[in-house]
Amino acid sequence: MAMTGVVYNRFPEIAAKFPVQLHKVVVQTVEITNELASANAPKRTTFMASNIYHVTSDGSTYGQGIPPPTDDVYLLPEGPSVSDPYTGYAACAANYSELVEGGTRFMSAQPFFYPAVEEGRSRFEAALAAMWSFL
Amino acid sequence: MSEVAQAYAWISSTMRADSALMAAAVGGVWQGLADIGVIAPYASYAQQANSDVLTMNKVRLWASMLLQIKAVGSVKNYDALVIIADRIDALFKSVRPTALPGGGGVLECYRDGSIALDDPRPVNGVQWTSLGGLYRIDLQGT
Repeated sequence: MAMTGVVYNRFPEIAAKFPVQLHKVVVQTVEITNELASANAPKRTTFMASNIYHVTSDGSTYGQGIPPPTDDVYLLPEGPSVSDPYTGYAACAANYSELVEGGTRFMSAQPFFYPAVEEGRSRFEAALAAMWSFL
Repeated sequence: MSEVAQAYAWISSTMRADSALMAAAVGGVWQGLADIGVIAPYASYAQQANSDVLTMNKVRLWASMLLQIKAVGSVKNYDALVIIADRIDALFKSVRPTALPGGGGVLECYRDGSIALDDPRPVNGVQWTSLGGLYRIDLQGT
């Protein structure tokens, strides 16, 4: 009785898709972190919320928010560019962002960035766990 | 019981039990803002971020909290702020599993980053600043 078998080797195909999918996970993570931080941020003029940005190897969204509404606030310099497709970051450009996040002597902390980072971390792990289905 | 409330109680009692910290923090230990008129420097703690660690079936295992614990005061008393920040770090930089009085426990506590933040404007003509850290506390509630 003859027996036949078929061997599938999809490793080259998987290997080709792997870096593409990893890059997508990185981009999606920094984008969602950026969006959540902007959504959570306290808003009076929206200068701070609209000037939270993210940087990946695809580019930067720095400077796309509204311009400084008053003379005493300004944008911090843009963070370093990223060439590695597996690296990305979200950041706050408004000079007073850290004071809102951490609080001052007469103002309670109003955290908006760290909660977004926390959620971004959860989504990063979930995206990595589901990545196999895209390979 | 709220894990955040348990964490606050644990942080407060741990700091209050440290004589070196309390000697330097003459204004005491405060949750969030200190009352107006409190003499500086003082120690303060507040939640910065929070996420739950769940099983696959979405049963909560523990709460993973990021809290800011810091010394607050005028830059004139910066030496005292350094003492307070150092004591905070000694108390919370590497905590192994610790049972809490009301049940549950702290699974671990470690520093996630430092805080050094100047107030934007002087208070009565004096520059104020904060010095401390962001501490990750994994706490299993009752």
